[in-house]
Amino acid sequence: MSDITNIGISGLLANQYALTVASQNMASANVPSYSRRMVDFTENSFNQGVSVGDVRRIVDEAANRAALTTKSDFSKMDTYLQQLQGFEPVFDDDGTSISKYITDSLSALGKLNTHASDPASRGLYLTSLAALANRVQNVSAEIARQQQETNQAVQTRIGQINNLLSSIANINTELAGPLNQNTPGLQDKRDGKVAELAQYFNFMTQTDGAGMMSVTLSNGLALVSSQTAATLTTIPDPTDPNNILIAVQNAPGNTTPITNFIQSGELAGITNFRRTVLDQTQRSLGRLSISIAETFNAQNKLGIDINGNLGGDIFNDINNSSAINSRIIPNLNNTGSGGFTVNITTLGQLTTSDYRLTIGAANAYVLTRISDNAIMSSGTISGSLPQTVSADGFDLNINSGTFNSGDQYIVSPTNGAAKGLTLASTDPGRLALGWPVATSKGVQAQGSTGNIKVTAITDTTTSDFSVATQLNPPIKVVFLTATTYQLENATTSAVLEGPITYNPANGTIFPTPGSYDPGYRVLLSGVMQAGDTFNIDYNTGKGDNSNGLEMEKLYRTNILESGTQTLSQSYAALSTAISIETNKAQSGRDATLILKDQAEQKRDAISGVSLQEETMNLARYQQAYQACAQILEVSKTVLETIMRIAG
Amino acid sequence: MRIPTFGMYQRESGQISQMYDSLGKLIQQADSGKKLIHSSDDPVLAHQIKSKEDYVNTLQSYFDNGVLAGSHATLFTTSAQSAVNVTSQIQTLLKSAQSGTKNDSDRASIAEQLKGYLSNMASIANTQDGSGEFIYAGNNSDAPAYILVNGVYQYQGGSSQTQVNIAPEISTLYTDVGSEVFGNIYDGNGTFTVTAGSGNTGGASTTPGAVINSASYVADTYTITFGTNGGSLVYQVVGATSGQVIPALPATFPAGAPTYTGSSDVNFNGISLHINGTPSVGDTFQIQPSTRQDVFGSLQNLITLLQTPNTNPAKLDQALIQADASFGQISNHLVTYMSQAGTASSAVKAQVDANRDIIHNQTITINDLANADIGQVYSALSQQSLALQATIGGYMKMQDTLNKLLQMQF
Repeated sequence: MSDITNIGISGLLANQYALTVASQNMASANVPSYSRRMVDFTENSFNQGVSVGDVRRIVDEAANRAALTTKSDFSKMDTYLQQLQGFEPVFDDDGTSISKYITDSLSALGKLNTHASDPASRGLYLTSLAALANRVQNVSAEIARQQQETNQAVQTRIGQINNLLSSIANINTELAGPLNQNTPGLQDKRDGKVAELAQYFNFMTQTDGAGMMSVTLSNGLALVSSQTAATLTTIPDPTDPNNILIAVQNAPGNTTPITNFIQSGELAGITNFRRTVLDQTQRSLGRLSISIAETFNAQNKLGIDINGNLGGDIFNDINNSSAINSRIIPNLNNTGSGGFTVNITTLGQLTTSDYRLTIGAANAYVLTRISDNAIMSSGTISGSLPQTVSADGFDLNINSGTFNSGDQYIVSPTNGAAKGLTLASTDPGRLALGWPVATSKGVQAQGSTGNIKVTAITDTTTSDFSVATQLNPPIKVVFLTATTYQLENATTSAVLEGPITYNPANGTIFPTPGSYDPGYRVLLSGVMQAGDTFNIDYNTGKGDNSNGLEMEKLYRTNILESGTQTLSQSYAALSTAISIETNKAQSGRDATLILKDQAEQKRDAISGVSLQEETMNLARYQQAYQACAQILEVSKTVLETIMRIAG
Repeated sequence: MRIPTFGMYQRESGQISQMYDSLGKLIQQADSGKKLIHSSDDPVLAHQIKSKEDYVNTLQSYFDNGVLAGSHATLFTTSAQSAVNVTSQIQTLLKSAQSGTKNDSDRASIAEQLKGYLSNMASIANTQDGSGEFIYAGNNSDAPAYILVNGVYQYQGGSSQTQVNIAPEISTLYTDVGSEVFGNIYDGNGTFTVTAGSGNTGGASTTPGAVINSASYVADTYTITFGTNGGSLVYQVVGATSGQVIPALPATFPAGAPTYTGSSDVNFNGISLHINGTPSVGDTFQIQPSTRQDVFGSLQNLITLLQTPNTNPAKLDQALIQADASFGQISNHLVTYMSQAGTASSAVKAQVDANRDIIHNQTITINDLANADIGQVYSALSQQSLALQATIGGYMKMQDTLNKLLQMQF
């Protein structure tokens, strides 16, 4: 008889427990890390009713792992996209894009060329160049600010990661306690922490037989090992003082950098953004700045300013002493003390990569282009310095110092260039719009239709330009016959060279057959007669815009990338690259989102709580509970009946 | 498959927010009228639009320069027209001065009129554009092209022209060299001049003459000298380097010289010259290769000539005939220049029109590329909001079902 009662009581208790579990499931339906529990009833031996054999956490390790990995991947792309979306408008906005400033300055130059001596037009052009330089600086500063921001973003996340790692280790400790073995709540909590951790970076987890979870990096380095957690920290990047690396703190002062092993999660998104977008854009912008400065400086030096003096730099010299020193960054771990400078030599060959100079044994060196790891140059640093190593449009000058095996230097030809793009002179009169050479007709014999004009200025550093506002010497072209001429010093009448044969089809005088090249080109044309003379002298015309027209041509000249890109196109390439990267990141994010959703669905399909299901369970357990109560009722009735009989 | 409640709601709400996103994008398109909100929406299209916009901006600055160059070209044409008009007035006055009935004071008053034309011509040569640049001062366009130095007009402009770009690789004249426009013109008949000897006393004068056979023309300074041979007037022609031309060697002068028969042609070395009137014995005429004159020098010489009291009508005649020939050359030169300026002007205008057309067409292309098709946007907008309502409806239904389930009595 007591059997029925026992069966009833056991069923009552078991179903009550099942009701608790179902309620717990329902209550936790909105807890993301919660894994639903399932009650296993077991039949007691010898018809002694039923009891709760086990409450199982319904978890599938593979599904969980897939959810974690896809979460890391998604976080990476999502962060990357967010950063890019904040970055793109810097280049995208029509009103503030550098290309608008380039076109604006061209338009100001076009207007100036219609009135080269007008101080107001000169001022406007110079202002437009200043605005261009200013905008480049602003963009560069914005990139630098975002670089700083990525450092902070990494540091904040490191703090959170350290919290999570120690929480996991703590939960491991709690689970190790004798009372808490196999506690579903703690396991859920730990899973929650792990899921949060997956948002930041990618890792592997392993749960051992004792329920201890270990967290290891992709290279096998343990971050949580049973009850101890490693501490992450940031250390300065030895190759770039502005950058930080993520490292594991082994002991005070002893760290292991792990940046390279973090390929996913928000941390990877941030470092990726920095490395592939910010750093690359800063270098591209630097190269553009160098090109703008050098192109305009070189042209301005070929002309004369409003006062008739040879032009100077419009922008600061690209190879000024601070610039050539800033282009080499010694590794913090170097033991030697090499003194280097880097001079830009050829704009067309300049790339947007940095270079690594590695010192080997016995003063051997290797210069590697970082973008594709191509070896640019290798050899030995000789005893007699300075020594010059040339690559990709720049000269690396090894000037002094000691060189130890293992020393490394980053050679960055574009470093600091965008920040340093500033006007060298704010005096509009210093714009050199005229050519320093002018020609005129002298005696023209009858029948002569001869003409002379300056066609180009090639070099104003020749001795012909060594005296201020004069040609040294001024030259007189004297025709001896209709087909021969000689060049005379116009002041002394001394013959410089001649007779030279006149070719009406190509009457360019310089360089002469005797290889005299004064640094300018003069073209004779038409029918000449003996006795015709032409004068070549310093230009005193203030309204001359010949050099201004040459400056206008610079805007259409292919300067960069081995002569395939104009300045505007170079900028367009830079901004389009960012747009394309953003577009790619958008589709990358969408793709990883789908994968993440799928993996989560799969995990939730196994571990998530379905309210419908639990409602049905609840009803089921409730009915079973009521039925068991009925058993007790029956048992009571039976007992009472027996009692009555007995009584 | 078990569908967990949490995931179900999450997915549903994710879908709704995604729909709001695309709805928001459409609303932005409708607001701005632009297809692309960010370049990354379609980097290739964005690049196309941007490079076209760059091109249009560049062309716009060429267009502006073209308009300025066009106004300069018009100035060149109209000022050349005025110069031609003034020259023809000068030529008319010169013709009337040549009339035999004019006396010294008539000529002096003509000289006064010519002085007026001289300053007219100077102001034409010193034409300024709207911003004060002297269009005939070459690359020294800030200062007047011609200034009066000691009573003589001198060119002080630049020796080379300036150009401006009116299209990529196309430049046009912006300021011209005045000394080439108003000067560098051969005097006389364009090949040689004929002047009467200073000691001439006879009544002979010559036509400006012409080269009738350019193949046999020898440029040289020739002197025609009149002498007598047996009471009849004979003449000799000697070239400074050619030596005696008439009579042909070995004949001597005056014995072998041809007789001058009055009002006859003299022909030698490709030159033909008609001599009118009767020279005195010992009178000479000099034939010299033309030299280059400018309008101002020639006009000033003419004024001086007309102001000087006449002592020998034949010499005055000779000088006026030469001046007339010289102004004929000046007129030819200026007319040629005017027609060239006219051609250049229409070329500039054509380029300006071409630029305008290109800008117009490119702008249309940019609009086609960049602007959203509003009709399409609005239809997509209403489709999207319909779909959103349907999704929200589904979400409500789902909640409803769950509620019903919970209200079930067991």
